Amino acid sequence: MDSSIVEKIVKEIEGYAPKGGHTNVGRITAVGDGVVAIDGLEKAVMSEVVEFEETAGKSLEDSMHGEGKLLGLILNLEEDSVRAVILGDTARVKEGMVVKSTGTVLSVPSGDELLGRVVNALGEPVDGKGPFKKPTMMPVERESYGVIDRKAVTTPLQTGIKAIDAMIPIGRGQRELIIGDRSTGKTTVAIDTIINQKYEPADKRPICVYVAIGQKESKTARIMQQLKDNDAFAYTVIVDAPASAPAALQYLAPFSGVAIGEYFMDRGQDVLVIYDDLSKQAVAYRQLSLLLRRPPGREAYPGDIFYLHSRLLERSARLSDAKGGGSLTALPIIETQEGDISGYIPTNVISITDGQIFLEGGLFNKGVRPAINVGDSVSRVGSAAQTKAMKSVAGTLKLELAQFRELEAFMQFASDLDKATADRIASGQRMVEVLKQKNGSPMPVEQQVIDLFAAVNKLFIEVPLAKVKQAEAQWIEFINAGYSEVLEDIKKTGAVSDDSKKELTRAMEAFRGAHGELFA
Amino acid sequence: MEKAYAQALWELIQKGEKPKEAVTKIQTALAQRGRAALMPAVGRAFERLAQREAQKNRSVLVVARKGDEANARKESAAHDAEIKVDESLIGGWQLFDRGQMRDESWKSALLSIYNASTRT
Repeated sequence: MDSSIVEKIVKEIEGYAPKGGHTNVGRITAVGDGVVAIDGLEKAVMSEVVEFEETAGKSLEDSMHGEGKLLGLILNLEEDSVRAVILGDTARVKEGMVVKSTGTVLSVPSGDELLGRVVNALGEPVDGKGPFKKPTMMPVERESYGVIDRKAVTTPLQTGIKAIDAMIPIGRGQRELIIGDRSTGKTTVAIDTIINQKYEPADKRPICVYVAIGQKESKTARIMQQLKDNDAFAYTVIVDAPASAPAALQYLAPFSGVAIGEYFMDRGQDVLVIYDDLSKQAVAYRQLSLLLRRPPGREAYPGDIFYLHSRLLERSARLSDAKGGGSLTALPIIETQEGDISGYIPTNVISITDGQIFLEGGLFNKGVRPAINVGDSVSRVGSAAQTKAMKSVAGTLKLELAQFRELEAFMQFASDLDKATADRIASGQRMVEVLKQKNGSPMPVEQQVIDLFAAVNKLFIEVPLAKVKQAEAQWIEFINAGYSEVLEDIKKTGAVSDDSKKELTRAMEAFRGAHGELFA
Repeated sequence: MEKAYAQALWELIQKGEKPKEAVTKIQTALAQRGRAALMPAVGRAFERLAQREAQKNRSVLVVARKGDEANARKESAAHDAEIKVDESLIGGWQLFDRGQMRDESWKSALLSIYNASTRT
């Protein structure tokens, strides 16, 4: 036998001190659908973790080869019993089993060693890379920071998506909902935002936490690979509560994700947490609540479904300097049915968050990707966080696009349009083309500014619609090759100076001359 | 509803009322309220309540082998506890008393050493 193992065992035996003392215990009187009723446990507290005693009656050898601790979470305190949800394999729980109180609330590991790892809703690694060595335990349920501990959102969180950074800017510490039907690109927006953080300087780069709730394992694996391929996994933690996980874990996963993020926020770092998606968490919570025999309300959701999401999203914050100045930005995702944003859960989350990015199936099918409905999307605090450079080029973009959408509808019925209207439509169509972006290709902010500068200054107006994307790519290449100092200046100062504006205007003229074939 | 009546019956008996008289009183009260049909359910609820209370106050000392009782009783100071034998404990004892457990078994000690040693 390896001598190091023997040494370790000897050390453990020498250091062994009997725990002694008494533990509060109860016995399971009923088990079903992931919920247990426990008799006893008279001093139990709400949200306390309990441990199911699986070793009773089993030989030492069988106990040693068990599957690890099986935990439960107390969610109901009743007159003569408590009800708890099983955080693991429900088949391991039997009626009459002893349940031990742990006297602690649920907490998950966090720390630098979680970066680039995949964990389950309990913070246990599920990527086969072994356990964490010295993690810091963070409580899953915690009171959010109060008014005094916070400060206004003023620093931008660049998503790398032109349509968002220009028209629906997000600030660090904001809660921006991504909402839309299935297959409209909600996850893509979130993942692109994570990927785009690689362009941030390492000391200011947000730590990203992606929480997959009720997703297919194959989708989560694909996302992990995409992040790895784009060098974004090193600053990301994935919390995975797949569709096959018990409802209790799907309900807990977002809280675990935010708890992991809070560790970094408390250290003064910026954090981005993506909850993909909260509709599935709401469904899991409804299932649990019904099994716990809590009275159902609208759409059979329990009465505290609003509180479930509000207490989660309130934990997003930008902390005051006294608290370290860290921030936690939340991008919750909600899936709508048939584009109905007036459903129960969508309206709840819309009212909790600081704005929403509404993705529309119709636009997606027309090839407008990201399929952002500019009219219904809003960012309530982000404009204060937008850079001057972006503000200077994107100031009227939203209004222009909204006007274009109206004219576009009108255009379908009108056969003869006056020149002003036709010009506006042509300009709008080109703007839509410019705002289209392939998935997995976020753009650094200085390039976005250059791109939008050209678009709002009508560089592409004479370019045939089919060639706009080509012209746009060549324009950025042209600037990178000959005017990189302008890009550097924008990146450094966060503004477009008068000199840069003049330089860009000259560059536009030069581009027209150099690429005459595009302006045919 | 039946739980509330069963609880009332339990409390009457705890206060010193003779069981037969207490049951008669509950029956009369139910009849006056037009709920006489509830009596069988009250009886079953009372049975469950009595079982739970008995369980709550039960004291069980689990030992690994027959013959270990005396030592276990001495160490645990549970002189009136009901004795059970569970050979899987290897040695030592476990005491379940009024909703609390004290585990002084060898099995749990060995398991905690094993878990600490195998944790990498």
